[in-house]
Amino acid sequence: MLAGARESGTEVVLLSGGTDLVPALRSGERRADAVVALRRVQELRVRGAGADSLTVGAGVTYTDLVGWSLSPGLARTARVVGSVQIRNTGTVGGALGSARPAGDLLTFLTAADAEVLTASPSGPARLPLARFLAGGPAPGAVVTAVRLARPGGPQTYLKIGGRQAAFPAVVSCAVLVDRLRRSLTCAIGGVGRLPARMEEAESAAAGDIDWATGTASPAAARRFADLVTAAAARIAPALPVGPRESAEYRWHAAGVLAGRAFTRCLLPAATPDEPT
Amino acid sequence: MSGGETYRLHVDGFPRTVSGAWIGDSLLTVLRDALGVTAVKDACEQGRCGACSVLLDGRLAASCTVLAADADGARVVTVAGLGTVGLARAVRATFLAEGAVQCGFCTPGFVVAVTDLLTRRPDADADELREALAGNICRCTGYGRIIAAVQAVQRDRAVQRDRDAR
Amino acid sequence: MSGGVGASARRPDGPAKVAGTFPYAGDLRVPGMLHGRTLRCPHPRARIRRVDTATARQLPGVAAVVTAADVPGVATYGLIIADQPVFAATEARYAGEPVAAVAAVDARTARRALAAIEVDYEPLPPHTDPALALAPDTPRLHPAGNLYREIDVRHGDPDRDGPVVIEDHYVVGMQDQAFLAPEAALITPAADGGVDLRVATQWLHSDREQLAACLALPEDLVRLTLAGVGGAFGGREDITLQIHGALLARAAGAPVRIAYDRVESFLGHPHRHPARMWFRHTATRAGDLVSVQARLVLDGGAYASSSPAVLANAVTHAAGPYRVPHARLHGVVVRTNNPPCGAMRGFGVPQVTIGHEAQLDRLADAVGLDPVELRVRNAICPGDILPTGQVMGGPLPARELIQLVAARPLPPSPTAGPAGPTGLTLPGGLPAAADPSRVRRGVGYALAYKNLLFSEGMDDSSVARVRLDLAADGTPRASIHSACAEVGQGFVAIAEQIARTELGVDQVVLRPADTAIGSAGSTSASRQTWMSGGAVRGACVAVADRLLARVARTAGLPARVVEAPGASLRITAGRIVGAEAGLRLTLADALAAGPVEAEFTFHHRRTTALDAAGQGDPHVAFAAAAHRAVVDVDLDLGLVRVVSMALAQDCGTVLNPLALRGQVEGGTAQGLGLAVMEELVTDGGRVTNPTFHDYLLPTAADVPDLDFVAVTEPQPEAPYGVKGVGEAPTCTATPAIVAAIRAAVGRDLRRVPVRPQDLVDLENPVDLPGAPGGDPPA
Repeated sequence: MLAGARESGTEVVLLSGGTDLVPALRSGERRADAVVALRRVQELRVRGAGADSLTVGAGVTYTDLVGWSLSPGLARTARVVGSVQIRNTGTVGGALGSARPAGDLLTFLTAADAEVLTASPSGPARLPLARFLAGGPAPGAVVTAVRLARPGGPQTYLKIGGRQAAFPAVVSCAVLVDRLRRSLTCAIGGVGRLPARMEEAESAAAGDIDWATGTASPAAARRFADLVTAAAARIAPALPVGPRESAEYRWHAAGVLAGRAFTRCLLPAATPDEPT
Repeated sequence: MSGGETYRLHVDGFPRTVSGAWIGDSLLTVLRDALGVTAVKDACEQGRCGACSVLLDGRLAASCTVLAADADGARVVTVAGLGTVGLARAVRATFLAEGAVQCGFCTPGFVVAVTDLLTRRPDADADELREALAGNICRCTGYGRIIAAVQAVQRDRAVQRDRDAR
Repeated sequence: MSGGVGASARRPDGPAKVAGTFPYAGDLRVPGMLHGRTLRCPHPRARIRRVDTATARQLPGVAAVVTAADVPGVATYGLIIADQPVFAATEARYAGEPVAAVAAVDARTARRALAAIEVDYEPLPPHTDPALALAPDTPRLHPAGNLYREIDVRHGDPDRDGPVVIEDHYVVGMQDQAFLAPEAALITPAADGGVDLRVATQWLHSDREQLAACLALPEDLVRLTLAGVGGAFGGREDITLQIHGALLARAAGAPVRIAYDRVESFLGHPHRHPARMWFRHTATRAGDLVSVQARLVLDGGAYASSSPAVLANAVTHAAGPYRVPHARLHGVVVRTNNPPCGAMRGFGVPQVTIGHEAQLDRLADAVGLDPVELRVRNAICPGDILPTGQVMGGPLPARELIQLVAARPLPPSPTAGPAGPTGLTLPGGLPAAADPSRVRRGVGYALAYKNLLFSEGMDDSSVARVRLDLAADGTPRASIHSACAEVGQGFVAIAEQIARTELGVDQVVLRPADTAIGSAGSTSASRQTWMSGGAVRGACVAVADRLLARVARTAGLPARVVEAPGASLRITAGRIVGAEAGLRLTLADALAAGPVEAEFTFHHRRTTALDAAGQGDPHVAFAAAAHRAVVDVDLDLGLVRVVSMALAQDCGTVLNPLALRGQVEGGTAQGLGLAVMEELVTDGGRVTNPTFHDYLLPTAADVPDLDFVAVTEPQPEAPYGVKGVGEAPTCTATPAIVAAIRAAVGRDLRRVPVRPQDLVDLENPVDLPGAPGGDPPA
């Protein structure tokens, strides 16, 4: 059907979740001549675990992920998305489709080096998240799932916004520690047009962490935060910001969130995140 | 699915046929404009205020973020379909008794959200109540009487449970 | 009889509201109705060269298209000054100004028709800086000029100084009323050439007057009935879609439903005025105020709305509820190409309260006094002279309020341990994961007073009609007719309570508010309980008098009893008793002879306009409030959590304790919103955040429980001694929270809403957290 639609020139929209897309259809921001709704495609609503990886179907909702013990980081990210209503409706596939600059799940998946799985008449395919976000799915392809490595250590996700609950992220930060691979990955959302990886801070952290114990020092946390602030300021093109949050504040907040996330994952005194 | 097709919704226990609606219409639009279910309120149409809250297959959802045609076959429950007995009745009654209603435009959505919350988490503490209801905006009350009403339902039901246990 | 004055009587509209069956304006549907939509100018300022509607008119399903050329009567409207075009004709002055409207068979066709209207705009450079509105090289943005009003209040010797001087500038952003139900109306052309409107509004008769003028119809052919109103807060005092919808309905000859969505609602009604304020307070070293100078610039936006009256409130309240021997209070409200601003809860007072309370806190620091002590020392008392020369009437327990609120127990200290599972106990909630060691607590206070009712010599009134008869089952029943707009505040309960108390009946029916009766005035200015409550009470008293006179006449009682029956007879609990006259019969028996009806018009005491020196007796009365706010601030991120709010308020006699509580809690929440999150942001005149995704409102997770103490000294000339209660707490909540944030972060705050970036020193960031308390010992 998608291939046919492409030839006839009609605008076919894939709908997963709908928390962004349905309002956009109403306001006319998005056009649609036909909608392929994926909510009831049961195959897309499966989450599963392999030996090394976790696979989350595109139709899995945030609520489905809250409390998922195999991925505390994903569970925590899902827990702090929007409101109950949005968590019940919004899906993994929808988050990829909307690609919000500070999208909660997008930031986490960026830090997780996730892969996007697609299906099309020519068969299944997988591509790195960054490439998917840069180019979208191949013509006629449907996102079926995301795949990410099983956690190899502590992970957390932090974000800030305008109030105490149910807010869209203004700046977001995910940090994932993998003790087996001896790596730390970090993504910052809300500074550029998409969440960005903090490579320089990541490699500095890898050298600062005592991998035998999986801990680091407060000085390492501070260095990490400073490197993230500096890297955030270099992200181009920067997201246009309104007077409510200056660019300088976003860079600063990115560093603070990164320092806290680092501390939570790696400092012995800190409380690790538990899914709630 | 494409434009102009006919589909069936299951609203508040009754099958309803929708025909002629645009394929991109939200469940909120179809409920209000095609089916005349105006108990579901349109305040932001962006999923940010909760005034249009319904239960979709038992899960709380903002009907403005749900594609109506995609709810074909799903059970949609609005404030009108929550029933006149049990928890929903208690929620309505305490909203009135505790002064949780002023302009009332948020009220149908709140009644649905509170009924859902107390079904899932009957003993939620005040912080959890406040966080769980953050998807429903009220501009009149400042939430004080709404939280008081929810807690009154919790108290009444705890008393009832104790009585039943004896 | 239960549910009279003083009881927490329930709202008669409550059961329908919790069931979802209460009909709001946007819920109204009639067969064959058309759907109206409005075309708005995207430019903040533009010359309109041509509007071509030919294509739109020919679209199938389009029934009517109207523009400025189709307005038969006066081309402009306005609450105070009719300076706003029904549709922009030759020049548009703000982004969002209506240019045309269409009616079509459905909303999608109407939207398509809007897209088919061709408007040839010549964008002009917008003038959006209110500080430059009166500059010589700023063009006149409207034939009426760029100054809506200037007020200069001079009191005592304005040049007198005390030895301690506090002087600074403050800025307040634009807040939106954000009532939850967007604007809507159902408008039907009538066979008699008139038009019938069912509309959500705050003031039916003001709408009617403006509609009649623009439609060139006599007022009696323009009939309005109040439809269910989902909140107002000032934002429905101005005309929005009423005239457009009426033009469409008359052009199409069919009923038109016209309604806004949230984006259009943000663009369609006036907002709270943004303010730029300069204050100079001087005091003795002991902390007694010597003088206050203020210069205010309010941005009125493109059209006048209620700007002149808002300015009067701002200027006359600029010194706050304090005894000030010398003052010079100057203000202007100006025209810009920003969105129009008008009425919102507090009406000019919240802005100046933010300024004067920030000044008081800094003065307290400068003279070494506690902020509470400084306020107690300077608080105004009945009998004191206000800067306008008006003598403060009574009661106004300002001093008592600040003392009461300061004495309330404080919340427990911030927990040192991890936050609960919801994270709500920390600034930023769960997702920001504040480090408790980097959270600072602050406590702040604010005291304010707010005028009640309309000011400056306006002879304001409200009419009510009451009929006492027997219901079909033979029980006595009172019917009340008033045009008072119930917008959520609870007048419907109060009116019934008054009738129960005055007429001793259980059964009270409130007729729909409409223009078949005289005006009740606006549901604003904290006025309806006093004004329309007074009208209902007056009509009830007149009904009782007539009935008692009839009873006395029938019973053959002496002429002196017939002429003044209230002296010997009274109605109580369904009976008419007159011990002296030896009379005893039921109300039902007395009403068997026929119903009794009376109409009453209530007026408040006359005030006077301000003279050239800003002197006069402008305000009918005042109510005061004091808030204490406790906040926690995440020092590294600048995130604020409001931990607790305490309020002591001057309420007059309490008619309905539950409704009172709802008003003060709601008012507090709106003040909280202005303090830390609510701001309609404009960029070159364009609103950049007209959605609930981007304009954040407080949720249940943001507003703490309110610790509330009511002071209930009766207001002498008001019915039952009432005071309006909805506005004062909105005025104090914002500055109390701002003061608490200032106390937590130790820096003066000059901009409201307070933004995270204002609380974080980006030049000298604080050390980031290591382990709690910094580096662990080596």
